[in-house]
Amino acid sequence: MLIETCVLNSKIFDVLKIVGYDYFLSEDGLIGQKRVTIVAKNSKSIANFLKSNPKALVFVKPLSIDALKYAIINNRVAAVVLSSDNLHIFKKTMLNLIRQYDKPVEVQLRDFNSFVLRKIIVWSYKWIAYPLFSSCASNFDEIWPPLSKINLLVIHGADEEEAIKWIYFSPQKLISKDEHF
Amino acid sequence: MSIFDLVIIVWLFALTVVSLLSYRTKTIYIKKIKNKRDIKSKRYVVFDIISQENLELEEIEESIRNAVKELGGKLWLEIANPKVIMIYQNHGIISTNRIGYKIIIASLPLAKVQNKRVLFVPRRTTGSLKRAKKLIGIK
Repeated sequence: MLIETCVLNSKIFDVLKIVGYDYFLSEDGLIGQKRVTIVAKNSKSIANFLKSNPKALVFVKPLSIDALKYAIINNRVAAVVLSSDNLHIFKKTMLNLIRQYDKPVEVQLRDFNSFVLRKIIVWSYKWIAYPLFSSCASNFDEIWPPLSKINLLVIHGADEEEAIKWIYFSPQKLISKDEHF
Repeated sequence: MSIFDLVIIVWLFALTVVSLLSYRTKTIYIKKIKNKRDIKSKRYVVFDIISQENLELEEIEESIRNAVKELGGKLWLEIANPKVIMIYQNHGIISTNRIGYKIIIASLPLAKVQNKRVLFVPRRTTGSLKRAKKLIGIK
């Protein structure tokens, strides 16, 4: 079962089916599981958000070490978002914490950066058990088909077996972990 | 010249004769090392076109070439050298080689046709055009 972990517009559900996905997480929550992405500068803002949104799957893009630490430790946070803006806060101690708590880390392919992709591939061999690669498509022409995702990882240096595992099984772990599935 | 030198010369001569004869009769197995990565072998990528508008073969090829250039640069574009050789209904076939087919599949979502919304979905990669045609429904 293939899962697309980020869709901004639920109306593209039909195209997702054609492309090969069976299930998806959407930001608008009209169809599929609702997910919310927040950009957090500190741990307090994450805590306040979690209090006001008890049900949705929460993805956090931390901009400080304090926020990243809180997001990793907190069970309510489904995954941490990695991008070029917050790459510098992913130090070795934080990566060890991610490994300890089996926290999924998401990279959004909407405006992907090869350097970030290369980093997450290297880290996934040692620290990140569940890397997620999401399209975050708002229109059908922004969807990343699963085969394209796998080959994108392979040309960035991932093993083919590992790339297939990350694309197929990491999203399943994310959903089963949160017991919404 | 001592007798020892003479013995050595005779011995080496005998060895040379034996090895030449055995090579001719192929009793000695000599492995020819071939380059296993035959870069010339062809690959055909079968893909689906998801769009509500009519697209010409040339504009699809140009968009795919631009996408490969965006992702891998001029180097990979020239190595992969993607060519759209056929469009049938909403399927297409890209011809490339064994080295470049991965970058083509990876760059298909980046392909954009001017003023038209389109998505290219890679389906299968094959080594023969006959099989690729069969996959898109041409007998």
